[in-house]
Amino acid sequence: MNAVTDISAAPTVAPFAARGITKRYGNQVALQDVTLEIPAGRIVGLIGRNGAGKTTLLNIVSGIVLPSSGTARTFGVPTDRLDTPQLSRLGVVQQEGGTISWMTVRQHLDFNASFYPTWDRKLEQRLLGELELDQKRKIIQLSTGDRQKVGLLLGVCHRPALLVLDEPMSALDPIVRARALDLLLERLRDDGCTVLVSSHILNDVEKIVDWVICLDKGEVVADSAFDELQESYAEWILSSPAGTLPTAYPEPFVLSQQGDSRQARLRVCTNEYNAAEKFASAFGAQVQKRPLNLEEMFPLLTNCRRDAR
Amino acid sequence: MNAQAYCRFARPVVTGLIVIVYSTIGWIEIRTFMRLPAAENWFLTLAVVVPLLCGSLLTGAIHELMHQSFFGVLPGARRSLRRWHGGMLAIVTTALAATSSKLVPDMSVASTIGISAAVLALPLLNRRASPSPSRFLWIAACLLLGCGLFYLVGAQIYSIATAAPWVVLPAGLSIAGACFRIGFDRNRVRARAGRPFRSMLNSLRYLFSKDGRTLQATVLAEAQRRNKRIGRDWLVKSVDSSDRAWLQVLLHERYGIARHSTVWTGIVLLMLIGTAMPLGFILLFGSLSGSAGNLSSLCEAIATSGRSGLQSGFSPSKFISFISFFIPILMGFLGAIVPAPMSRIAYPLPRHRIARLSFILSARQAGLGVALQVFGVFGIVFFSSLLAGIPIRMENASGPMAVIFLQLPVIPLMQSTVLVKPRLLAVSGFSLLFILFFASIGFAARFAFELSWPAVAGSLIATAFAAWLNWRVVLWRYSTSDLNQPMGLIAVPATS
Repeated sequence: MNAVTDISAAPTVAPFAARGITKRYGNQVALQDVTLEIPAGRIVGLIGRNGAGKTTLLNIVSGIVLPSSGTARTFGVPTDRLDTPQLSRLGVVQQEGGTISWMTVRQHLDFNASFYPTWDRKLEQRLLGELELDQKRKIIQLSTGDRQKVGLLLGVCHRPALLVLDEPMSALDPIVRARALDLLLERLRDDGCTVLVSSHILNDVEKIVDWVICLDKGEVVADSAFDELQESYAEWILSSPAGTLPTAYPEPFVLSQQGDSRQARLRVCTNEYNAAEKFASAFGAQVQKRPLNLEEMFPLLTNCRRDAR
Repeated sequence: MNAQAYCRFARPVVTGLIVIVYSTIGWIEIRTFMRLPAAENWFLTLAVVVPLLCGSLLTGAIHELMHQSFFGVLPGARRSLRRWHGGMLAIVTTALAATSSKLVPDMSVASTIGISAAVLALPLLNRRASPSPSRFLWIAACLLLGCGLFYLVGAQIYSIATAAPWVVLPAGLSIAGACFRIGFDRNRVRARAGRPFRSMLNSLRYLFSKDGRTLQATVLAEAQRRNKRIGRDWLVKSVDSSDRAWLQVLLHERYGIARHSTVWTGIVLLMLIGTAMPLGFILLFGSLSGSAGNLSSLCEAIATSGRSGLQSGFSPSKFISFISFFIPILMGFLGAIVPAPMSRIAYPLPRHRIARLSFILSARQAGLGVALQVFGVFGIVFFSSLLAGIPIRMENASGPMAVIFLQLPVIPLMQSTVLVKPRLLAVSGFSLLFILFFASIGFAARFAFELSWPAVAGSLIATAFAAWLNWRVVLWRYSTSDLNQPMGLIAVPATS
C-alpha cells in the first residue's frame, strides 16, 4: 500500500488512490500532502484524533469534497468526474445526515432502492430485523442510534464494491454494534467488498480491520497492515532487583516510559528481532513483553506520543 | 433580569431603525391613498402604524425568549420580563404621545396614549402556534373580520379620538392591561416553553452569514419534527438515466412531504393573495379615508395606474400609485431569483448531472415566479376594472408587464450571482442587480417603455444569453465545489 504507482499517468484499479492531496478550508489545512492507495478486498481502519482530517479524506473518496491540490481517484476515475458506473459501486455511510428526514424508514429504503439495480431486498429485510428498526417511523423521529442503523442499511443494501463509513457506530449500543461489525465482515466475505471505516471506537475497529491508516493533523502518520503494527508496537516490562535501570531511555524506539530503577514499563516501536532481550541484557534486567492493542497504540501513533513520554 | 438582558433581546436601536423606515413608508402610503389632512395623517401613523410595528417587533423578541425550553426554570423570569416589557412599552407610548402633541396639537394626548398603548400590547396575544392549514384559515378569517370592522369604524377613529379622549384613554389602557394579563399568564407562558420560535428582530443578526444558513436548516428540521404527517410513497421501482426521472427524484425529496393537492393549493393561494393584496389595500384605505362610497373611482385608479409612462404621461402621484399597487406582485421577482442549489447528495449522481438538475430546478422556479407575477398583474387589472365598471384593457397592464420583461434577463444573472464565490463579490453583485431591478420599475413606470414585439423579442434574447451565462456558472460551481458546503448564500436544503 505504501508503494504508490504514478496514478496521474496511468489509472489504477484500486478502489481509491490519492497522490499528494492537500485540502484547505480557507486558512485551515485539513489534509496535507496525503499519498495512499487502498487495494481491493481489505477492511481499512482510518483512525486519528478529532480534526485529524478523517471525514475530509472519506468525503474526498466519495467525491463530495474535492482536494485543493493533488490527485484522487476512486475506481480509477478522478473524484471530480465520478459518474453513475462508479457511484453505483460506492456505498457511503455518513457521520451525520445523508438521509431525508421527512421520510419513513420504509419510504427511504424504497427511494434509495430505485437508484441501484443491484439493491438486495433479502439483505434489506434481514438487516431490518437484525438491527431492530421500525420501518413505519419517520427518520426525523428516530434516535441518533436508529438513524445510524438506517444509514448503514442505505449504505450496504446495494452491495457496493467500496463501502465508506464515517463513524458509523458511535451511537449504537454494544449488541447492535457487534451485529454491525459482523455485517461488515460478511460483506467482505460474500462480495469481496472493500471497506474504509473511520471510528473512535478502536476496540471495534481492531476486531475487523486488516489495515490501518492513521492521520494526525492532516498527515498520514501510519499506513500499514494491522499485523505489522502489532509486531512493531509492544510493551516491555523490565525488572532489575539490583536497581540497575536508568531513569530515562534515550533510544528512539522507546515511545513512552514509566517506572523507577527496579522496574520500568516501556512502550516501544521496533521491528528488530529479539530487540527486547538485547535491550534488557544491556541493563542486566529481565523483560516481559506483550503486543499492544490499537487503543494502546493510538497515542503512540498520533502526536500524543510526545506527551506520553 | 436586568435592562441589559432585556435589551439584548429587544434590540431597541435596531427596532427603532426598522420602525422609522417602515413608518415612513406607512406615512407616505396613507398620505397618497387616503389624502387626509396632515394632522390626521400623523395621528394615524403615530397612534396605529408605529405602535403596531414596534409592538410586533418587541413582542416577537420576548416571545423568542419565552419559547426557550429553559425559560420556565429561570427564577422570576416571567414577572421581570413583564416588568421590563411594560416599562419599554410605556416609554414608547410616552414618546409617541410627546411627538403627537407636537405634530397634532389639536388631538388630545389622552387619545394617543390610549390607542397606541392598546395597539402596542395587542401582539402579546399571539400564541405563535405552529401553522397548520386550519390555522391559516382561522388567521385569514380573523384578518377578514378585522378589515370588515375597520371598514365600518375606521373612518371614525379620528373623530372618536377627538370627541371622547377620556373614554378612549381608559378603554385603550384596559385593552393593554388585558393583553398583558393574557400574554404573561403563567399557564400560557408555560405552554410556549420548548416550542421553538425565532423572532424577526433576532433573525436579522444572521443575515447573509453561515450561522444564518445553520439557523435556517435548524428551523426546517424543527418544522419537520413537529409535522406528524407521513409523506407520499415513492412508487418508482427503477430510476432511469434521464434528467426527467432524476428531476422527479429531487422534487420528491423536496416536496414529497406534501400532497400534490396541498402543493397546488399553495400555488393557487399565492396567486390569489398576490391579486387580492392590492385590492385589500384599497378597501382598507378607502374605509379609513371615508371614501368607501367612492370605491369604484379608487378601483379605476388602480386599473389605470398600470399604464406605462408613454401611454399616460408621468406624474409623481401616478408613479407612487404604480409602485404601491403593483409592488407586491412585482416583488414576486424575489422568489424567482433564488436558485435551487443542491448539496450533500445521497444518490449516485455525478457532478455534471447535479449541475444540470440544479439549473433545471432553478429555471423551473424562476418560470413559476414569473408566471405568478403575470397572473397577478392581469388579475389586478381584471378585478379592479370589473369593480370600477370600466372595460378591461390589456394596455392597463403594460407598465407592470414591461417591468416583468425588463426583469427577465436579470433573473438568471441574479441566480448565478448567488452562486459566485467569494461572498463579498456575491453580495455586491446581488446588491447591484437588485438596484437594477428597482431601476427597471422606475424606468417602466416613468419613461416610455412600450410593450412592443421588438421589445419582447429583445428581452427574450437577452434572457437566453443570461440563462446561458447562468448555466456556465452553475456548471463551474458544481464542478469545483465541495458538495457538503452550502452553495453561495443559500442554505443546505432538504437532506439533514
